Amino acid sequence: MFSEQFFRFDNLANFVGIFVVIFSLLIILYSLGFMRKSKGLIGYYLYIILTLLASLGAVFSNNLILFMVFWGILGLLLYLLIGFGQKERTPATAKKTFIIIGAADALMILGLALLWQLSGTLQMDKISIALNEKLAVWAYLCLAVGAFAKAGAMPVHTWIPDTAEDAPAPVSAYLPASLDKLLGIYFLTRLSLEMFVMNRAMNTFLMALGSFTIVAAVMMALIQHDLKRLLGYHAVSQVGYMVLGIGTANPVGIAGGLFHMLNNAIYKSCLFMSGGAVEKKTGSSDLDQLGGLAKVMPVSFGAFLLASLAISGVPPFNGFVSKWMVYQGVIETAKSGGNLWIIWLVAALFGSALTLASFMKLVHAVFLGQPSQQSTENRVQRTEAAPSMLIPQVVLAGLCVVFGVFAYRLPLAKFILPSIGQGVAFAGIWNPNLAAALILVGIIIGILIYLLGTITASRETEIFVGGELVREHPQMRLSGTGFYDTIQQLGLLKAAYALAKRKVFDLYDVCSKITFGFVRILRYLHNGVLPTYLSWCLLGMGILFYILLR
Amino acid sequence: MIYLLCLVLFSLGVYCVLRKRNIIKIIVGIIIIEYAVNLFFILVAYREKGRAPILSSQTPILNMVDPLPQALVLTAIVIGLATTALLAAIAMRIYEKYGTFDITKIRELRG
Repeated sequence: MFSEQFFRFDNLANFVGIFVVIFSLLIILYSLGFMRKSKGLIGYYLYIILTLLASLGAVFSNNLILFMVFWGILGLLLYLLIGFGQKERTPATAKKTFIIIGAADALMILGLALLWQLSGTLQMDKISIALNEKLAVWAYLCLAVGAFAKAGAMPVHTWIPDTAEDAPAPVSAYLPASLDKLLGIYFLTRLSLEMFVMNRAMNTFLMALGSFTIVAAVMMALIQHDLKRLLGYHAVSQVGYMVLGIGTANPVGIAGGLFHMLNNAIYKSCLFMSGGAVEKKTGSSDLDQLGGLAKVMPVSFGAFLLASLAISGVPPFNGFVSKWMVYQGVIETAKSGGNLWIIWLVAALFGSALTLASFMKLVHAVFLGQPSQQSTENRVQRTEAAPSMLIPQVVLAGLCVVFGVFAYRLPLAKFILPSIGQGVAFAGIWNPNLAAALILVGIIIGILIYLLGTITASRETEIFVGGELVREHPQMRLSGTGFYDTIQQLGLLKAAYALAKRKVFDLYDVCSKITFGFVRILRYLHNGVLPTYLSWCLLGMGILFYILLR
Repeated sequence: MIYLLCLVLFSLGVYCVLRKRNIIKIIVGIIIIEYAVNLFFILVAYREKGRAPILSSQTPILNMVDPLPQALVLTAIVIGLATTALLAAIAMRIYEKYGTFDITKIRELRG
């Protein structure tokens, strides 16, 4: 049963497997608090545990057919888990997710058939195909689409923001944010490093896709008005870094991509959990209705702040280390010629800056600023979330710091570098202790300056806008939602945003329009009158007789 | 030549099934088709100046009409009776459910 033929336990699989289990445990703990008093809890926990088992199966399986079976089960479980959302659009979102994942799975099976044609074996560690003929390129693309759909890279990403918005927060934190990223990037790594021998063109394609994903998704995230949807777009954007890292095809970049996969899972889960705690307390995830929650939910605020600093790539958190490694990988590709690496590097840096910008908006709109009118009205029940919801957040936020400060000693040495199996040379000099010390010094100097400023005579008043007290005019409140509205008004971007709003870039939406257009012709024939159908039958029978008895 | 009569009768039945809207009329059409087929079988088995196919030890088996289609048609008539009864019962149920015998007004299959 556990023979080499079907299962394999190498460093990469072990590393992904360990974190699959850790995330599942944290999510179950979080769900104990979040899903309390919901219906169908037996089904919910059953699906969560089945997802855990299926993920482990997919990660450790060595036979591609076995892998596809687990992969398919995961898609179904994702559909079932989204169904636990309470929103009006939840069923539509679940259907959309299922269709996108299912279509990608179908393409993967096609890729599997091509692979069988090319190599004659379905054992992952025995396949090694050079991408020099057309069939091999198609096989690679078909299989990669499956990995992209799972992880959420650009052309097939559209289910992630919808799922993030409509599914319950633990489900968003579990599947799109952590497990699907781990699995999708795991499979992409297996494809690109083991099963196929990459060539330059395919690597460039991967890097272009990664860079485009980073920038486009983060631009969409900037203008969102919903807490969880905004996080969903960031979940898409971060996949770009992983694809970019793997596309660089040198050890630093790949290690960076893998490390970013792990880091993303950590801080994105943490963000979704904090967001979920906020939603649970206030009953809304609309940014216009939140605000000023830092005082009532200090622990969630702290975890959210740490995770958002990590995702924005601020040292000394883990997001910085892995992004730094991806940048090094991109710079490394310059050695093999070509000037395209500058574009990828600029896109990655720009994306990182925009991530920080959108998280400034998010943190301000949710936790800082003035409480909104709605939230002041039902202030009664506003306390910190239940302990079982706080512990996972604190653990993950702690991991963000630990994996950032001790990046080389802990995660890289234990998990990432053994997975790649080749030496990694770091280009730049980066001493986390020194950076952390410098940042601490900076913060202390800032506090000193602040204290020195307040020692001199100053007067504290209530917040006012235009001479009127904000407290008396709630409509004058400044929410964070309007921070980047001006970006939407910029010439070319305005047109792009307008198109995006009409879902022109949504592959699912475009395909569904084409399908419905085609169906309209058939629908015209289906008028529901029985004699018409009978006439068709008779006509068909006549044609058959003519052909057969001719 | 006489077989053309069967064809005419059969076509009449098909026309009735396809063109009529009333379920009862459609059932009548089906019955007409059935009888056309029965008639066709009987006519195929007929023999000029043949005698009834009665087996007895005195008379030799000579110039007899083929008995097999006759037995078949006898059975078919009985089965036809049962199907007609079933059709009528279904028609009554349809009338109870939809309040009409007009088949073009029952359009649950419309896409």
